[in-house]
Amino acid sequence: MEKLLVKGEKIVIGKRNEGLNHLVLELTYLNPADLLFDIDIFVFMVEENHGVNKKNIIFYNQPRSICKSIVYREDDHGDENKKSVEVNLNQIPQPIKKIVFGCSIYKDANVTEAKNIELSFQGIDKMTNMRMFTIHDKINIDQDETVILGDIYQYKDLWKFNTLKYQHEENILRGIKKLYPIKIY
Amino acid sequence: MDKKECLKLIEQYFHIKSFINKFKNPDFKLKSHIFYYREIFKEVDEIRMLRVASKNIQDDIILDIYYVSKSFEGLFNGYFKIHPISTTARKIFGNVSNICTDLGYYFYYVYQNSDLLKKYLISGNLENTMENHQKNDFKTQFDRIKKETYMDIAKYDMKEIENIFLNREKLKKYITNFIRLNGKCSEEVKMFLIQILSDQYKNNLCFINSEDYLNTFIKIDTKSIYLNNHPKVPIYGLMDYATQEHFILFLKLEIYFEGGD
Repeated sequence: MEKLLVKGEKIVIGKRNEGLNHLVLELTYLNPADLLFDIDIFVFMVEENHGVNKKNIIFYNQPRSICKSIVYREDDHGDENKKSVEVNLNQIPQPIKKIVFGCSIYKDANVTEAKNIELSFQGIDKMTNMRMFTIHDKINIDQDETVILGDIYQYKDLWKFNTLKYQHEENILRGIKKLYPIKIY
Repeated sequence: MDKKECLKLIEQYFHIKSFINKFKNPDFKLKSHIFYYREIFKEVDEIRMLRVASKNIQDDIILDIYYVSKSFEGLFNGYFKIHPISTTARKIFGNVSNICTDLGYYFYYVYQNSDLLKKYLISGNLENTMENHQKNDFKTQFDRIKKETYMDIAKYDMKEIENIFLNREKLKKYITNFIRLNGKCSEEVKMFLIQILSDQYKNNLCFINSEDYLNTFIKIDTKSIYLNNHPKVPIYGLMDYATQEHFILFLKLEIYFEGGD
């Protein structure tokens, strides 16, 4: 059953080496300013030593991880913008210990009418199409440029999702570096 | 020849004058941002500001320089647009950028990229320059590039390849993120980004997110811009040709994630 997650909440999303563990993580938001405003998903694959290979940062300009276990898709037709990432947890290479999901907010200097944007981030089981969890967040786009939504991590033989909902006023690289001691190489 | 020496020669062979009464004694080291913060220039979108002409009138090299009062965070606060007026100026300043924020850098950049300007600054004589100049037949190269691009695309089913094309209307966002997520860009790259933001080429450029499908595309990193399979082809000439011939050129932005420190 779908679970509405609050900041700090952790849930089990799969068992390592058991089942398909194929998820779709979907970001949706209403865009009040068309091309003058956009939100993009960025996924960072963090290794045990906090290293992040720049080829393992998945977003619109780099839609696949090196191992191809994470794939980015975008559909911005219609009023509701949808950006999604497919994650095949069974194919995540051993050195990757955490997968961090963040949003980068783009706002043209001419956007005046929009201030608060509501977004929703859902985890869906690709096989059954069942919604596993949802995060709702409201962002003040005058103030913040980044939201770190959460991360997937391994705990014993489980895959878990940790809800962060951390909003930051600077770009996504600065935002993620505030929360994690990552080194991009 | 370094920038300083180059500008010395530019000053030797060219003079620069202002069309604006309130702005006197311009020089070749002028930067556009100094006008951006002056109220009087904020009121106009674009204004003819300067004329650069060869000191030897017979050489007939004349350029007009316009000031454009737009801005783009992290990239520019106002810029100059260069319009070659005479036929000779069009030859010398063809196939290079016609936008810049720093005139000193611009003339040095043209010197580095225009064989004609190089020869003119050395010989100081246009007739001699033209006689020694071997015309490059870029049209044949441009035609080959157009054909190569179409053949690359034709190899794939549209459904398979369409995911690599980024939304052409989101150009501003792609450039904003390129600046935010990368380290500092070179002046050459800045000039290119300003040029593609200027709408001149907007119907003929499309960003791609993968290098796996096409062999011919313009690669943009923080240091340089080049056509990946033909690094010697003049990018601006090729973009002008694409506009004339109504075909699409593909571009790939390299993001190094060095901008977060």
